[in-house]
Amino acid sequence: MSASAFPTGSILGYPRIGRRRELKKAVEAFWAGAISAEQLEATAADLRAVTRERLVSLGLGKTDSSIPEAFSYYDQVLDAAITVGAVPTRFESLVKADGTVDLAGYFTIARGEGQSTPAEMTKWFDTNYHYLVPEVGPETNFRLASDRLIREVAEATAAGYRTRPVIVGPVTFLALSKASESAPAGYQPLDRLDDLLPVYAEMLAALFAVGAEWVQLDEPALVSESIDVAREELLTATKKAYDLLAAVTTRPQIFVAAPYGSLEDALPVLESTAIEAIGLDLVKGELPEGFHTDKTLVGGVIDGHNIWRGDLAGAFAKLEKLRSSSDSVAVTSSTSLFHTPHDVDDEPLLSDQLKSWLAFADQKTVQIATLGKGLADGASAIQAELDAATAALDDRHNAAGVRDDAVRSRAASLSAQDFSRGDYAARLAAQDAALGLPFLPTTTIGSFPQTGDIRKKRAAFAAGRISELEYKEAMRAEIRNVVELQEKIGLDVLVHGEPERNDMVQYFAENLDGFAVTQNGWVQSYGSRCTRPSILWGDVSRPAPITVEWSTYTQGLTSKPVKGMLTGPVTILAWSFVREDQPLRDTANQVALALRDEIADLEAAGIGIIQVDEPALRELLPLKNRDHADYLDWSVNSFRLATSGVEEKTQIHTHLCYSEFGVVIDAIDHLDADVTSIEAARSKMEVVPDIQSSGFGRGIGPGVYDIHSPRVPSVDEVIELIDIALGSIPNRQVWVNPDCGLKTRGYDETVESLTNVLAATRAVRERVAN
Amino acid sequence: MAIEQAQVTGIPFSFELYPPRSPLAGTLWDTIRRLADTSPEFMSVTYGANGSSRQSSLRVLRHLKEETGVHPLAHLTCVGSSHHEANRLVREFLDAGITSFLALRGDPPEGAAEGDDFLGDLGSASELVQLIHRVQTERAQYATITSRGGGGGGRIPDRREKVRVAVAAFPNGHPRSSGSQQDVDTLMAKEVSGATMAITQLFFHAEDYLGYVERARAGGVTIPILPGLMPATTPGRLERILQLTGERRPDELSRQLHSTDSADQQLEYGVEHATTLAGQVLADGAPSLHLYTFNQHQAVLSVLERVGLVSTTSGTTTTIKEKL
Repeated sequence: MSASAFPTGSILGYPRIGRRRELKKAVEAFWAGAISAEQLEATAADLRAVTRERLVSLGLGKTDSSIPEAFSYYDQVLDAAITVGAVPTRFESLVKADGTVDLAGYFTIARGEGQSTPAEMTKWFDTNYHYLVPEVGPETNFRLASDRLIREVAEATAAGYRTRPVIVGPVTFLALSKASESAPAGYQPLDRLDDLLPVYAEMLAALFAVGAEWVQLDEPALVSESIDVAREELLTATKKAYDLLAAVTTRPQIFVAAPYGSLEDALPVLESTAIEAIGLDLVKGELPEGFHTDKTLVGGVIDGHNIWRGDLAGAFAKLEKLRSSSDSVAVTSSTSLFHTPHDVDDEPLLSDQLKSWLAFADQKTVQIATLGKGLADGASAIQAELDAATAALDDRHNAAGVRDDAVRSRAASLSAQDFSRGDYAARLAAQDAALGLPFLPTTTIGSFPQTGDIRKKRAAFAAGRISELEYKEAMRAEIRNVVELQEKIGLDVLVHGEPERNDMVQYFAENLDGFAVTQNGWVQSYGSRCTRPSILWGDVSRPAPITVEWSTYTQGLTSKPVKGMLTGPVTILAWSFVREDQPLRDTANQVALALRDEIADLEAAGIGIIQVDEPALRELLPLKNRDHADYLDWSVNSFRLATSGVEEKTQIHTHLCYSEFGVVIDAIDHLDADVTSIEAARSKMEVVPDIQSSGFGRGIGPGVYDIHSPRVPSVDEVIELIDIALGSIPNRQVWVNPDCGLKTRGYDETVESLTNVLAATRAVRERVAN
Repeated sequence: MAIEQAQVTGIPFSFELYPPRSPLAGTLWDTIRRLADTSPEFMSVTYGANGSSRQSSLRVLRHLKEETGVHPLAHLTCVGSSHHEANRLVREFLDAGITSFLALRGDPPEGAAEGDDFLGDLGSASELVQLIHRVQTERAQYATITSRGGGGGGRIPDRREKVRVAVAAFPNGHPRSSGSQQDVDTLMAKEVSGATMAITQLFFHAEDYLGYVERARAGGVTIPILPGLMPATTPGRLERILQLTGERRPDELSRQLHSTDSADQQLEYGVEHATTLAGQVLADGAPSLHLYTFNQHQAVLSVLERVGLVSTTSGTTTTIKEKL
């Protein structure tokens, strides 16, 4: 076994998509059949080569294992599943005679094919990244089924590098897995640990053979309390796994990284094994107290999960303190840097001042190299860099717009009344009188199909190729079509279809003060899907009405009520890069006040129903149970602050597009919306019992049309779903609507599906009336 | 649990309190006891504009003197008073056994602006310093001194008891001052009028205090200049202080306080900043520390403990948590 020291400065991972989303484009071209697997492989190899070269130029060592070998075509958890042979039974045909799965097969597992549903996708810890959930059962045949990572390390070695392969660790892999379809009830994937570990052991030996001196095993499951495995079992598995892997005779040194939080009681467990280095997230997590080890402690002091330049001197001070726990201390990012875009210097449209406050993956790598130098040569060697970062922080703290006295004094003067709409019974009576809606009111969630034409017009307007007048007329024409269509189908509450919105968060970010929008700031959301979060850098306020013009135009076209459509404060925060210099609660309330103004203007303009979407309410839920209450308090209150300024007769709707209702049902109840729509069609109304048992007493629209599929639901199918809802929920409360917005669907299937939904609703109404 | 603290170095320190706004100030007496247990050199009590809190101030001053044995120091302002009124006021405090004062001119009453005729007969703090000395000289020969404990009664003082008269100093310039030289000249005038020490307005940067002391010494000021420190432990308090005093923003502390809504964390930031500041001014020759308490003991006691001016046996940490 080699005994090279852990690199003083390294990163846990780097964006995989490429500065110009080269990987996304190549992968999608491969899916479309425009390029071959070989061409895709070549593009990926180029990207890896460019990344290694770039990281060296940013200050990481070329041959000291500081560069992570952490590429993925789609998802690192899927990579681990493929590597250990965990292919779901329904995809068995993709496994070739030699036991491997080729690239096309890999993507098929991710995306599904025919009757085979894709692997389930879910959120990666408390981030906006989504991974594919591995499926493990008694039938899973663990074996080293892919040498992709080994080849990538060999590729780097051949190019003169010594990189550090990264793979999801065995405990996290099993903890994140779900029991396969054929597994018996109560089956725990973690029970297969004994069968899985030999595969990891074999892989370690193979990585060593191609030149790896260090390997990084990511074990974020150890910091999370949202894992479906008892803590004791998780710790026992950790002990067993790393005792065994450390005992492999020819292997790279083992670095176990634990991003996204504190290891807490898992730290002594890791320390008691014979691994060589432990990575601590010292941004979300705490410095260990009274802890000492001979192992290398790798302090994740540079935040991999945000885009701020941050407090470099404070980060260095944490490393200095970490030295009381180990004589061997190194520095890294708190998480992989793949949650951040590539390069701040690639943003020509952001102001220089704002840029001086930011650090994307490249800038963070430089910061880590700097701190590494400080660890090696002492603080004085990096004093200039520390001072420059502090000066940037002070500049930011005192900059115009970062603190807006008008916004602050308004937020400071809020009272309990501003967060409350009062008695629901009174609201219900006022709304019934004002709106006169039938039993089982029908509506949609907001967006209508975004045709290529609409996108082109928006792009042409953004690029200045068409006038504002021409653009607005094009959008109005679309709105007229959408209104006509809804009236023809017979919906009760209409929407304008949101043709003018590029994205449900960015649209508002572009129209609120305190935000900036990037040009190339893409981050991977899942697979080839990338998002470009806006930067919330200052105090938020609304300089002018945003949606009022569109909504009033639409209301002028019909006698039916038109819903005003807004995105809620929590979702705006969750899908942006948010300032970290003040509590999220304060930022959420500022956004809420801006939305409150918009809602007041909509109401004054005669819009009687306003929907405020909060699809991300569940997403930001903290990993540690002790943090839940505070989070739910501020998140729910920000929604209430936004929506509590209206009269009793104005009906507030919200939409939450996921079905895991149980965990946050109390929070959803406390939102106090008059009507809540949720995803329910795919799960066949699984959520209804939860709603019933919670005693939820206001309007509820469990989705009856799964918009994530091009399938058109039949009338009978929809009747069945409505009946399930009516079976458990008082009739008065039930609304009929699709699962989610229709933006990603085509017009033909949308019209057909909504027509069936209305036919089903009428049939049920008639039956109940008789 | 009682905090057992004792002064462990020779470096003195003192605290400032304000009189309670309501008579039901139960926690104040507890705070005073905890502060008094550390044997401060004195504790000062502020005085509301126009004497609005005179009785309340006197009550706290008497309590200090009679119940704690800590030397009380009374803030006095002369704004709006005639000679006669000011004379009577000083006499009232002296009769209560208060022999130390902080003589302040005082701010314009609400609604009045600088330059308006609101001052009354005394135009400056220096005149109030002189008045205090004069009143004391006049009455000393007739006064008796009540001895604490013992058999009650009084005795004729052996010799005239000296009054201590402190004045305010402004390291970053008084709002009415035209420049740093005028600040030094004003302090010199106060010393000539009989001030025996100066206490600075709170400041957040050591160099502000140290530079001021250096200029004052060069200008001939010889009285001790006590640095006034306030642990700013909430963002709201910091903002208010900055607004009231026009002090330079302490950037790092400000960033830290604004970054969290955990009261625990904010207290820690405020205490740590004040501790560093106290260490710096003491290292460069400050004679003692004067701590603005806002009637809360936990933050200032933590600062003194960290600076090493008081030692704690056990219980301080617990007490801090209890209070949050």
